[in-house]
Amino acid sequence: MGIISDKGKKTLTSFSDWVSANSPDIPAEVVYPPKKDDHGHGHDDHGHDDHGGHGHDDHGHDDHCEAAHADETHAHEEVLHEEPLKEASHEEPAAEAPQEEPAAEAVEAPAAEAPPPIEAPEPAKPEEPVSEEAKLCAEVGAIERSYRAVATICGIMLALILVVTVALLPKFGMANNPTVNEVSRRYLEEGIKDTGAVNTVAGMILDYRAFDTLGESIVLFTATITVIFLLQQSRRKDNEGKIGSTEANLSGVRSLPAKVIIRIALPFSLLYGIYVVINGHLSPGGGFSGGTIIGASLILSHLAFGERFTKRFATVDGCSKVMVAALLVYMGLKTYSVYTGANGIESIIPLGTPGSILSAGLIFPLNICVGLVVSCTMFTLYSLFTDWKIS
Amino acid sequence: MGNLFSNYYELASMLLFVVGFLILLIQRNLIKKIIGLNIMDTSVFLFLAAKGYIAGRMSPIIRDGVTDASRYINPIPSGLVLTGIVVAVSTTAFALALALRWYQQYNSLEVDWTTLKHLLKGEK
Repeated sequence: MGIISDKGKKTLTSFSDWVSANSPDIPAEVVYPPKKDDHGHGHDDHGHDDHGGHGHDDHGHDDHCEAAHADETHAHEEVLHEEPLKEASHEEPAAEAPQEEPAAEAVEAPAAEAPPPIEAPEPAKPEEPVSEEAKLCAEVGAIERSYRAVATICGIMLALILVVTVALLPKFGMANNPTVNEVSRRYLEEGIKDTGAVNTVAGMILDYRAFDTLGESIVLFTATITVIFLLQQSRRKDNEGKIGSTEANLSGVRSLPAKVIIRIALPFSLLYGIYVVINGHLSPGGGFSGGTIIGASLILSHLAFGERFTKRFATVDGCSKVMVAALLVYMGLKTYSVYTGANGIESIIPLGTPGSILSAGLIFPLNICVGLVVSCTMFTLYSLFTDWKIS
Repeated sequence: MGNLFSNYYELASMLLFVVGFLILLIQRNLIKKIIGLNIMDTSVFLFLAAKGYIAGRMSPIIRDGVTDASRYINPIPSGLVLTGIVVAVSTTAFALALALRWYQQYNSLEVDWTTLKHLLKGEK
């Protein structure tokens, strides 16, 4: 592939045909040029030139593999017979698509028997004998088929086991199920006294089990940081290389009705997200659900108006800083409450009257912290994944 | 058959789990594998939500100051679902980023013969 695109022949019509004819013989170094480059600048051009062709080899490689293995032997003999003829008239093959198959096969012919044809200026790498390749190919195909059979059998057995387990579970929705035990009774009966939250789930996850929720927020934060690290290389390359952000990414969708509708809907969705966050201790919702709504609004604004608009109030760096700040505030508040609780000190944070917006002690600020973390995570992940350019 | 058909939520979640598991095992496209992982996640959420439900009771939000536990459903599985969703989002984002790097390296999202061959021969 690399050879062909280096020659500038982009008229290859069906890449999968070419692959199916040549699959067992392509030298791996030629198929995947990025592997042998250093990961800095060099593999830029390979990636973009090759992309058009490589995107299409999407399925059935072992099928191709078998077919190719079948006719590979006589294809190879034909090539050997045609070698002198081709050498004699190698001005004749123009850069048309059908001519590339013999050309590519000629490249694969052992270099000892024929000098490298003109289509391959770089000398073909010495390869293993074809029989070994074909053996490997058949082996992999057989392994894959047996793997699929074993996987299907395992899945069916797992399904049977799980269905039998479901049949033995206690009846759905009954009050005397073993899951309804004294823990949930305690949460429901004493929760409002202990935490001041009307919403028992919020009281549970942000007061009784606040440490667990801190862990969840840190999981989200860590995932964001990891994605930043993983995709940073390609982003930096975009800034140096020839490809920047696309126009749609910079200034949003072209459609005017979509822009108008999103402009109308955006404030309401943002407001609704904020409402869900700050009512987390009173109604269903809380930091996670509200944060997701806010993040979706930010994503919507990025989608409609592009990066030029959203970078005024939300960037990847800014979101990371907000996340760190929210996590630190969360840790500080919970450290205080754990300290006072463990030492029997009266906390200065009042629980308030249950049902009012300024009640439930620390749950209100903790919900805001969690909402900030979640919304920043959503927006950061979206903008990282859209920044990543394929072509 | 026991409670097989009265436990239809659990049954559906188990079947979804197996579907996701088979997609994860059999599909060769990395994005499809990630979709299978997400189907498995969703089945677990469905199972937990079904475990928390009690017929005829209200959501666990204290109304009118009545703290009688026999009026509300079990709040614990709801919190566990929340944890599960967060972890599912994080692992999905991480897996997608890894899939993009895979694509960058091999120009393909497939885990198949060509990539395998490349992995086998790549280190020489």
